[in-house]
Amino acid sequence: MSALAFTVRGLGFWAPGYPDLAAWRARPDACPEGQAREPAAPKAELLPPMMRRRTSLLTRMAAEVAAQALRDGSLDPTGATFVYGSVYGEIRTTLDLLAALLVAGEPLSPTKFHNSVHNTAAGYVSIATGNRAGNAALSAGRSTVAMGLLECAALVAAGEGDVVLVIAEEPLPEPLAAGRRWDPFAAAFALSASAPGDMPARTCRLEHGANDMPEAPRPIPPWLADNPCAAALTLVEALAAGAPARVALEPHLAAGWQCALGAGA
Amino acid sequence: MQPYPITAMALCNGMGDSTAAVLAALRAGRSGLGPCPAEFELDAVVGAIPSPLPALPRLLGPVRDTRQARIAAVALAELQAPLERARARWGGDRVAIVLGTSTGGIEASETAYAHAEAHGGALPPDYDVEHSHALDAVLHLARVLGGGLGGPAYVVSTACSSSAKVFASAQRLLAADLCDAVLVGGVDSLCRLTVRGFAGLEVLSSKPCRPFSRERAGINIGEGAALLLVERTGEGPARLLGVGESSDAYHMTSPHPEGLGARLAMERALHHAGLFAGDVDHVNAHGTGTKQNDSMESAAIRAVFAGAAAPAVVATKGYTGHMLGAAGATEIAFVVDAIAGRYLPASVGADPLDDTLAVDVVTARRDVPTRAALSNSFAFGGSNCSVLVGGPA
Repeated sequence: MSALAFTVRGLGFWAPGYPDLAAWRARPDACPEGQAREPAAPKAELLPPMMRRRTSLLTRMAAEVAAQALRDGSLDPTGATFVYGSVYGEIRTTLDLLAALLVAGEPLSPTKFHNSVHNTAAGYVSIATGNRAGNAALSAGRSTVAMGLLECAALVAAGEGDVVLVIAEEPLPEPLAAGRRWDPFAAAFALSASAPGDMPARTCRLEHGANDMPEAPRPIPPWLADNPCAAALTLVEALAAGAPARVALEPHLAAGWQCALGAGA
Repeated sequence: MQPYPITAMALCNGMGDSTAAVLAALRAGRSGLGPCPAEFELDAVVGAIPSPLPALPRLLGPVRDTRQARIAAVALAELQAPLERARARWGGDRVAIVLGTSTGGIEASETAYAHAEAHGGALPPDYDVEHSHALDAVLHLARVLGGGLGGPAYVVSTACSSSAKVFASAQRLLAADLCDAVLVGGVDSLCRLTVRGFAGLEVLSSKPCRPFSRERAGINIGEGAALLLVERTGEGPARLLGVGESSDAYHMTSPHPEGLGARLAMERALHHAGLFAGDVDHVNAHGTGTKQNDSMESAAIRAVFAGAAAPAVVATKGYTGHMLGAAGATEIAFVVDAIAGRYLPASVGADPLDDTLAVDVVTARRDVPTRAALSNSFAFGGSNCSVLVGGPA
């Protein structure tokens, strides 16, 4: 087996108005122009209510899709290794802290402070599931999805067992955003080493090459296409479609990392 | 795992703006802690880089001139020769970058947000969230100042374990043949958000921190960079032997009281390397200066080394303060220097020891060799990492 091959055993998805992958796949071809800027957060029932009420949209999205992927792939939540990818992480909680800093003598909220770290969701999900494996929280700009999959493929190759990649990105708040607008979404991919009998279309190999693939059959709605983690949407669609395909993980580059689906182990 | 040589390193922090200055202070037992800048409006002690940081060169394209970028540039400047050698040997596309940071450019966002509040929402002209604030902005800087590093590049941000965990990623990228060399390390800058955040948690000391001392009174925040080059093969002062990662699954900010996650991380590092506790001579402790950390980390060390000779325990945050996202790599570099220089640095501030902890804390420099050492880093979210470093083959 190539060190960069793995099988996707489960998927998770959440976007405003689309609480799971089935709802997303059933969306009309012509999506509404714009979405709510303050979307209702997902249920994120993986987190106990007392814990959940302290968490951000980002952490709830991450917990929601992680739970979906674990269920879809029949994975043990206590044993899997989680890798979280996000460009701006808990940026809205961070903005609250930036505002509080301007009030002289005002102590920062300890809860907001620990909720502002990039591994916030990682911490809450490990506590909620009793998972004592290592985890990671990554960022690589518009290459976050690609680098997250490389980290996961290397974990699988190292024999670390089941690995779940959780991609989640909130909207950037003003004034920091300076006009950059996108809607939030999250997606999760439960991965493990490929084995004989795996559904061929769920076997993946990471490759590096020119991004010359044809347009995806269904374009990504504009309110999500600008999300810096949008490559995860294309990957989710291709995996759910269940046919061999080549997905650009760094579509902003002329050549970059790609995921070849149906490439076999 | 297969060991990989650590072939070069560069440091800057409260002890100095060059590797030579930092290591001279470490060997001499000279702390780099000092008073917190007045504009922070806090009675606190910090580990701030003591000299002005040079402005970035103009050739860096979209990269903004933030404090974090300047700190990274200082360390990168010292690694020019080894990076050139690595590029020539392996090819630039085979050199990966995995860096840890917790702050990213948040210091720039603090200034920008204050500016926007005072100017009807307008950001300062030199601020851009993508190139000033974002965690990954430092990657572009490393790619360019590294002379053109084209391998996989990402930031690991797991708060205070960030730049220890990068060693796990580096080792796996090498093992998976995704690259032949990895620039690893951590870069954090002082900022109000972290200093006042830890003040809000009521763990900040207004005096220099004293890990493992009965007179401890909390932590100090520090800043700086530690960059190391790990290669598939080569000559170097030390080798990366193994990395153990774990989660406490207990609480967002309080460590597991018996140090369960800390113990798992150390045991997994040993298992990973195929070594036993008896093969390890010293532990560079996380040692932040809080009673909670001292108590649980000592319990974890005692448990891991039950049945083996007690290791010497070194705590170095009395030199640098807690460098958060840069702490792990900084302390791993200190271990490399201890191995190369056949000494154990004094844990400044630890004397008089808290005798209830029952671990062998090094209070005065010892001139003894180290075969292998564990370096511990623990973080918010219950994220733990222990990195096992040994001498050259």
